[in-house]
Amino acid sequence: MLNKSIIEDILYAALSSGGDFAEVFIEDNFTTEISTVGGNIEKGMSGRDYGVGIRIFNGLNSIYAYTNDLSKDNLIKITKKASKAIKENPKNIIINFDKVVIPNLHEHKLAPSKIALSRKLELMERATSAAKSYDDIISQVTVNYLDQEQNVLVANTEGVFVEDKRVRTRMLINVAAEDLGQMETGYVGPGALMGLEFYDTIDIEEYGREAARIAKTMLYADYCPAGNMPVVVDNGFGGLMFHEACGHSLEATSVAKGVSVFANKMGEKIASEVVTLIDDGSMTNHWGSLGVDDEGNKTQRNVLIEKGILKGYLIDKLNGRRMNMKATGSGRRQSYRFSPTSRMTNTYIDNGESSKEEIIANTEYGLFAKYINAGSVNPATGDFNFSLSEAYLIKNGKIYKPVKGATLIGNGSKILKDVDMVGNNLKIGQGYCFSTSGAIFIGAGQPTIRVKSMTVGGREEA
Amino acid sequence: MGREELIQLLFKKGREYNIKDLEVYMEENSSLNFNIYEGKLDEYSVSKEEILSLRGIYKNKMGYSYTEKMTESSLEEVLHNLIEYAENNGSEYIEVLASPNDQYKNLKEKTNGLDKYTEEEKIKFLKDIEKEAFSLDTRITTVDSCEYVESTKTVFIKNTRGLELEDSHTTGLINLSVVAKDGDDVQTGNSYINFSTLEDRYKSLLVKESVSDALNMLGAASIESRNYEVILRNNVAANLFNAFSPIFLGDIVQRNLSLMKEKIGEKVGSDILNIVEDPSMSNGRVCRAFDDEGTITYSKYLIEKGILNTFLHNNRTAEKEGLESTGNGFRISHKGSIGVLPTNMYIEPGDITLNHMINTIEKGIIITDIQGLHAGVNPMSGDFSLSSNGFLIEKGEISRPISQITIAGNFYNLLKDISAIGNDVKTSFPYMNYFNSPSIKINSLTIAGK
Repeated sequence: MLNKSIIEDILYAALSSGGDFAEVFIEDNFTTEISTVGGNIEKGMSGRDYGVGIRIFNGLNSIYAYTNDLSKDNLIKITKKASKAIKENPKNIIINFDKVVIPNLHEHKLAPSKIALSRKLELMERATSAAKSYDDIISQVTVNYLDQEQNVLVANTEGVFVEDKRVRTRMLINVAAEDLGQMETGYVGPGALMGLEFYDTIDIEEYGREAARIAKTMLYADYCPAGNMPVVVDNGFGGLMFHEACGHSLEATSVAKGVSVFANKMGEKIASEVVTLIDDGSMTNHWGSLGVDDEGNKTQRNVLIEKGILKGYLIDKLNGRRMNMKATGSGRRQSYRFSPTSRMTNTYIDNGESSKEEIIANTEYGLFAKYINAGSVNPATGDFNFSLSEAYLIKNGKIYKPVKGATLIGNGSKILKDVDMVGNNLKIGQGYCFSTSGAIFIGAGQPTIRVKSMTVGGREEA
Repeated sequence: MGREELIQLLFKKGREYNIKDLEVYMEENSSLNFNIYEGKLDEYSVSKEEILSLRGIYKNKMGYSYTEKMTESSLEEVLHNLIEYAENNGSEYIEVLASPNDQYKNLKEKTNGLDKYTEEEKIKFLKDIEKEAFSLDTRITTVDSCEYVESTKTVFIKNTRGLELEDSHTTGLINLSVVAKDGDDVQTGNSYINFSTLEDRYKSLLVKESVSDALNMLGAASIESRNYEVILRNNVAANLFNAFSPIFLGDIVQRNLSLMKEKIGEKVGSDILNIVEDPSMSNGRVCRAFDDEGTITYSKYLIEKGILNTFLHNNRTAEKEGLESTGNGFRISHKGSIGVLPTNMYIEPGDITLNHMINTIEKGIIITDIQGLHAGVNPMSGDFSLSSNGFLIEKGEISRPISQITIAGNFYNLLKDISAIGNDVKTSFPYMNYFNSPSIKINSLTIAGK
């Protein structure tokens, strides 16, 4: 990518105005993003992202610069320009690179850049046909395909010099169903930190049919009633609820400045005893995993909440300084255009003891959320919201009928205490997370769980 | 290697590969961002980049590719990717690259309105804002974000037919977010402004908006679930309309994903509703004289007096309808092929003040903040259900703050259900799209609370 002596020169230039730490992040990312509608290419293309991000600290002050002109002259020039925001005497820091080779635990076999576009389109076509032939009311199938071969190099003035190769692929299948002037959609999005061999490990047609099934179910569903009720969230990407409800509030980004509802609560009981929350960026070949994070630290399994007790935060280098705590392998960024900060990787509620059947049978009346669409949170208040893509009413301990247009809202610290049943069927789904350091790939998961009471937003007066 | 040299080499290699017409789209972007925290410069960043997107006709099909690696060694790869795209492109429609044309003669060069302030002045401006935010009330415990974002984007298009166009736009954004605490009660307030020149009056405007929202929300509680008469305050209306703006895009309509389909000339909204798309808005987020296909842009009504006037089109979607492009053929970024995108959109203001609007309501709600727009709206069906904050209105007066509620309804119905439009225009938070709106009053929406 860049040779060691140029990197060293950049780092010394970065420290020239008095900074106490500097870091270089180099990215070379070959990527293909293609959308097909009804099997035909609609948009997208292949290309290469390429650039360098330079970060300088002086105490808690952080400076960032990026460019895609990797000539030495330009790199030194932009580094010096950025460093001028610090106006102190140089601290005479000596850099000794200690090249660490971290074995890549996330192997890939079929590198996306070596596979012809026509083969990727074939996979998309298989998903399209399966969805299309599910039912006559399927009016449109849109497939968004993504793959990446992201090579990064992180070097800093503390001697870190590591590389990581992240090979990923994902397919988002969106299906629209139309009847009697009404339209509804369903989608699924399997993905992994793997090469194209990923598609040999799954049944892509089955995913296509699943998206079609959701669209059809929602098309004939009634509107969801509004009001308060118990909510059962199914296993898998439903874990996004905890990503929003408490994950973001456990990121150092909001904890360090004392903004988070969970700041200064380490060791306290913040959740019901059945809740254990983990964030693990080292899970083999998982969509939200990395070998090393974007600050050059090895990813690891972080226990955030254990049986209801707050055990840890997700910490990046800068906020670690503010909190006087060690980084947790959670420094992430969308690309070299972003300064990294603490973010989630694969976040999940650990298995409990109930079965899914038991949980539903024990619910007199409530909502069953089979698939979650997406959500967001205000980390300061803990107020979160998310919308459901497939939901049902539960009546007398049984799934009663599908309902559409449902939104769930709540407050993170309250909902953690209101989880009263946790299943034993942990599953992790794939998604994106948008926050200060850009859009990143995340896993979110859980077993089937129940929340005693939540506010359900819908269009029908209850 | 210089820009011109790189392009000439690319055109030469393109000919060798039998690419018939080739067009480069280049962006030169530079930015300055910083954040003030407790009186100090907290985060500071600068950037500069030049990136390339390519389209060209190979064996009668359009191909696309991009690269951020602007060196001679990457030209082979970028052309290879273009050819591979074209070979797999099944589209019957053949895009035609624009040729030089008289219309381009009148293009004016734009000035950067933010160049006249030094970096120190900009930093001072933000420090003043943070200080003022803290000074207004002791219950303001944290200024979560006091952020300045300035970016200059220069678009350069050149093709083998001799077309050469350049356009540049600089825009600034200040985002202020505060936290108010009273005992265990925590509330937040957020304000932002998009601008092309800095004006002193922005300081108190931003501070007042975010601080009063945070303070006024203290003590908020939920409310009984039912239908209410609702005012969507300007910022909320702007963000909601922004989220639904895809329903006016020609490609979305043609793909059957908008219920506006086949409604041109029909009444789709209240008589008082006028929606405009304006690419030349001087304080807009986008300001472009030509689109990415080289079509000259212009301002137009999408909805006029409640009647649907036009959709937005690029060359391809216009041709399908036997129309001319409306100058909305844009790439979402250098990594995207040419689609249909809006520039700046707005609802024309009416003549009622927000206070007057509140006074007309016997029992209702004013929504001052909505969340979850990326998930809780379905542009296809028009359904939305969004987590919200606001205030209860009783007998024409604001009576108490409300949180932990959702508002739900259908956007297509809402357009017809607008009973009043205010005179208080505010912008949506600028992402890809950009929408300005005054406060609007809706006859009925479903509120879920207790």
